[in-house]
Amino acid sequence: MEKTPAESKNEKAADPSPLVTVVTWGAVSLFLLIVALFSAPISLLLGGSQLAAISAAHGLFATLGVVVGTTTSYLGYRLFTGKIKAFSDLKVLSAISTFIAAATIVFGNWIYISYRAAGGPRAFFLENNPEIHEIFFEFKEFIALFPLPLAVAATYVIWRYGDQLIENRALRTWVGIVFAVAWGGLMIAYLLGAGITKLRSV
Amino acid sequence: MSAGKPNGAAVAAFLSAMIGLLTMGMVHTGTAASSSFSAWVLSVGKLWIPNAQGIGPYSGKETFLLVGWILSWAVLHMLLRKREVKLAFPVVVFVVGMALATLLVYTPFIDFILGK
Repeated sequence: MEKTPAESKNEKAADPSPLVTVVTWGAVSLFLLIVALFSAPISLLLGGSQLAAISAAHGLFATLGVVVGTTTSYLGYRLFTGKIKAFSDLKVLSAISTFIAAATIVFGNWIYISYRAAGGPRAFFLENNPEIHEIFFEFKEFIALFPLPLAVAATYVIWRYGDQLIENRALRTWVGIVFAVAWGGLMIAYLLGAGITKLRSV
Repeated sequence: MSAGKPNGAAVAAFLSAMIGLLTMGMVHTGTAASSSFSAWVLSVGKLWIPNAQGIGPYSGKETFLLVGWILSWAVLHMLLRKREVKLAFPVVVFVVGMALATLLVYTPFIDFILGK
């Protein structure tokens, strides 16, 4: 049954648009964040290290990377199987994943200085349990770089080919493989990073 | 992609990512084999990364990753962008290259090939 203009108008008035919803949510979240920043002792939460804020940023981006990267990889899997319905979401999320991967690496480089410094976690592990550094950390620091070029390449291909990709089974299979490899690197780096930080943080 | 854009640009993008990571793996293995090579790799990192001394030869390895990746992407893109490529071979090359790149940053494998 076709809606009358009056009914359509009422419907528009009753339902907020996605933009209004997102802006409202963002404004309220920002307000709560500002209240928390001014009232809570955030510095106690970050710890006393010289690079506490940088470490927090690295951890935050890494965690965001896991959340967004996992969602993106799921959509990549849907593309791989040819059953994707949210291709435009995949385009946006792949670009965001790429940015997060780059930011995580930049902040990771920054705190790596503390890790290697005299008396830092590296020295501690080499003295007490060298395998932690030589096998787990060394692997983690390199595997953490894998997602960046892979995410850039996948994002480039998705944006360049657009909807054509959905029809091209061979190429979309390769994109799916790339997402799987990048996600594997992301998860290994995250889990090893969390484990090593638990043993000795910067 | 017969009806649309040729797939060569995608092949170039994926293979170059693998080449960059494989380059990094080979350089890392080289630094494990030779301390003078490791010092040279650090000097490469110092050319552009702030505080590169603090992160050691890792800075140079990241540099080689970037250079290998971007240069190979530029070259492969120029060569392949207008071509329709059969994907079976490049996909196999990509997967094998990624496996090698992974092994070359895994210390027990490096120790094995260096006979340590």
